[in-house]
Amino acid sequence: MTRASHHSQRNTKGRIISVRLPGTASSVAEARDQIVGFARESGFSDDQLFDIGLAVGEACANAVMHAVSSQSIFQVEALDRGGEIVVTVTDPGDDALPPLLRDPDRVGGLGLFLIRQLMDRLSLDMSHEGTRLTMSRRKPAA
Amino acid sequence: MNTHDPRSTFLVPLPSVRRAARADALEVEGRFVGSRSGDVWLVRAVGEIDVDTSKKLEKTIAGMLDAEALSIVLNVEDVSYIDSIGFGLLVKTKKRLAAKGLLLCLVDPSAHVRRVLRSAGLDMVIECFASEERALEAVNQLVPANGQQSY
Repeated sequence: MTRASHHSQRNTKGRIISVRLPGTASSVAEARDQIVGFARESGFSDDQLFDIGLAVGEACANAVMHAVSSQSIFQVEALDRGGEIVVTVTDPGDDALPPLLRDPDRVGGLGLFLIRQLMDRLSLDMSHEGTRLTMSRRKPAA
Repeated sequence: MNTHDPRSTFLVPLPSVRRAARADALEVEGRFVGSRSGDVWLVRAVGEIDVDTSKKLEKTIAGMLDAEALSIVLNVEDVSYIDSIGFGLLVKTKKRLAAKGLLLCLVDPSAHVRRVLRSAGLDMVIECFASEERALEAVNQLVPANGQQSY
């Protein structure tokens, strides 16, 4: 398997990009770049691109901190649904409770707080397979 | 969570990554600035302060405060990105300085960074100034913790 890979295509739901990266801190900026580049092509404003980039950075930082080892792979996907972008960050951490929920007063808690402020919607799915954070942001009215 | 996602069959190697020189994503330099009205550490950060790079800034600040506990003026005019790890570092530094009656000030954060500082409620905690001169003035007017004005 390649250490880092990405793919973008269009399906019936809209444009999609999928990025898979090793669970290291340096991957976070790479994921941010990929998703912000995708969102730019989707027509988001500079302010919104900054918000989306920061929210993706926070979610990926959490995935990296959550990674079982630097060999762990986390996945970031973005879907342009026309009126909004939906970003999903999935990590295979074996702990059902991600760090950002353990202690809301700590830095991870600030990360989750920021995502709530920056995006329109946030959800977090946890299972034995890992954690999936889904967030969305609407485009400005044309 | 679906490991059998058909899209994964289309995965291709990342063609070019502008992050090749990730070590250069943040540059930090610190300077001692002394004057008749007081001394400060002036720190200039250029680039991105995030989960990967914030250690660089943390190390610089820790080294300076170990050498001498002084207020810090942190110029972030060329910081394009700062995340919760970076904000956490600022809050930690602010608390460490405040315990000694010292200040942490930011100089000229970008509109994006200011907006996030506001969102996180940190604009009420960490003072921002438009220029290094203004920040230095503010620090030098500070009454030290022992209640004596420094002349």
